[in-house]
Amino acid sequence: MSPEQVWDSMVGLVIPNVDFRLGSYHQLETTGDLTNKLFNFPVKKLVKEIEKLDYGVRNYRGARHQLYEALDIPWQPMRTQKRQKSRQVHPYWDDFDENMVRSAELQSPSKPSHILRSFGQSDRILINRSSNSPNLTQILALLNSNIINDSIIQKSFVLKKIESYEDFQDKLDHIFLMVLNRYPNEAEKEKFLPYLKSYPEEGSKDILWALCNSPHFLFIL
Amino acid sequence: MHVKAWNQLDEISRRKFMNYAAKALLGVGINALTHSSKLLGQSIINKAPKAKNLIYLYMAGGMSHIDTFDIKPKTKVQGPVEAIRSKGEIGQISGYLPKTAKVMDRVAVVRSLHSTQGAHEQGNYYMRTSYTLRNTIRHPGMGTWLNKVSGRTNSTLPGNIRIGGGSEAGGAGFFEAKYGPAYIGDPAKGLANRKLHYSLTEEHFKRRLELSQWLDLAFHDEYKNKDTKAYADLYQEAAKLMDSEDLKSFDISKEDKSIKDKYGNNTFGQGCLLARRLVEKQVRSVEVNLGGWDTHFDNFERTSDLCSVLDSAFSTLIEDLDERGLLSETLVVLATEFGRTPEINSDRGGRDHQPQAFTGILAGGGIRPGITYGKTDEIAKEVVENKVEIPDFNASIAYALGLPLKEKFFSDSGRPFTVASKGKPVLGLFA
Repeated sequence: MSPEQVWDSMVGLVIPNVDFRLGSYHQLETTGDLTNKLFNFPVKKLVKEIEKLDYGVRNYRGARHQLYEALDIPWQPMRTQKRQKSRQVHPYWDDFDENMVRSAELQSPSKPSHILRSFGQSDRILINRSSNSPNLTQILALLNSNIINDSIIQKSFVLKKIESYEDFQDKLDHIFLMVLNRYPNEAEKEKFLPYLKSYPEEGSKDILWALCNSPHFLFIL
Repeated sequence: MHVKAWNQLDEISRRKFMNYAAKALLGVGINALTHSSKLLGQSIINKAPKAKNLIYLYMAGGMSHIDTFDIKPKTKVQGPVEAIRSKGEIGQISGYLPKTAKVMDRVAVVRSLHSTQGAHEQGNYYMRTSYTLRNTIRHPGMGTWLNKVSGRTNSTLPGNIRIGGGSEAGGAGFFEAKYGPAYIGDPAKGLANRKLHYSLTEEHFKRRLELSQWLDLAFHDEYKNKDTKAYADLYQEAAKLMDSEDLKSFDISKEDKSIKDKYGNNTFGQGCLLARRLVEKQVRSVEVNLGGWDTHFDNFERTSDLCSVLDSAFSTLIEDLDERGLLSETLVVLATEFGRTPEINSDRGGRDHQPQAFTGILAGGGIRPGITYGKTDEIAKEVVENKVEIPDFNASIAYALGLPLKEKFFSDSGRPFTVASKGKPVLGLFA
């Protein structure tokens, strides 16, 4: 994946529906409600609706519109010039780090110490200065960075969602669905269900961390 | 007379024939031919290399040679740059580099570099790899070659570090990713995320790691490819690093303020300081980048600003390494993708790209100090003496490090490559 795709995947785990964060202030009154609706929507049902999507729809905005219609969610296009303001002022986002937005919404190049640069984002000094090659810095970021260990593992909406389920099978299903967009296979169930039972407090976080550090996350997602 | 066919000649007759032919056609005996083929062949390896480690300073964008190390005073093309005398035999250099002038007796200046690549990406790639850029292969940089061929000296720290550079050129290339550079964006912070996250105990971290390793195994059984294997190798490297006793070498806050100030309070200066700390711990290769040399506009103002950064960092690095007894075993290289034209754009006050003649610097690690090699014409536009092609420059670096110049290494597709392509070391640069 490109550095930007890796970052967007991470942000997608931290905050609920990253694209809603870009709405204008007035629309966000509605957008907040929409986000709540999506947030509380049963994930399995959501997946089924996504599967029904017309794959001929190449246009992302069109596909999203189609999905919202299926879920009976009103849709309004957003206005670019008000995005920045909305990110800072709307109370809905108070609990979320203001830098948790898509890479396209961040300054480019990002600061040299930003995780995007670890994953090879161009420094823009010259053309073609980006890199997709694996390197040690990326692995250290996946193992020890704040975004993995704090934002995703401790505070993310994904974690809250997972912890809202009581049944271990449901928990495991939702961890896999939210990180890898698929259900666990039999071998994975055999490995992780006993683990969840042995570590009821930390088990979900540990598996979430392990998935973020597995090649599935970087290569399949 | 009975005449034998060529393939029926005995060994002595065949040698005699070759000797006659060599004398007749080339004016030399067969022994001389054998000797020269040895010089150009397998035997070009420095069996007692003095350089163990490499510090590679890369001036991204194309450093103006005429405004730095190949100054042409009292010519129209020089613009406002004044010449100053440097210590030792090298002569005059740019007035933008007063501190560097005091350490020029410890470096060798190659004023006759010649490249065939006049665009940034291509030039950058060629300078770092000795091969021209193409879509079918990625070639390794010198730090990767050094780690692949000679191995690491410090088994827990990464053997190849790149500070302040975002380019893919000169990375792991077709070798395994574990030999490629680990990137440091901000030297003041060192290698990011090198320590265990505060929320975890070591035991808890290991438990999580065991889960992800289990997922790895299942994945590798299903998807066998080099990139996924590379990530698995890098996880092992990361685990070794996190356990390393030498982790503090990444922390430049341990240094005195006076030495930090002397290197310069900027990314490049602090990067050079970090490079010194890392080679002290036997990290084999550290690259530090200084960008912004693409001075098509306002060449003199911008070169002056960049030189003030370079001047403090480079001169302090050489002095610091020397005082600590590290210069003799550390090869310091200052390189760029090309030079800049002597002609000054009248409308922009800038200089454009010039690959056919520019300058590189080598110091320490067995390099003869205080010499110049090669020469450009009176306006620094063409090489007029001892032209050094980029592969030759890189072969000299490889020779200093004791790397085998003629040994072939193979890419995944079976294509053979050598450390500096067909480059030959410039032996005159060595003490």
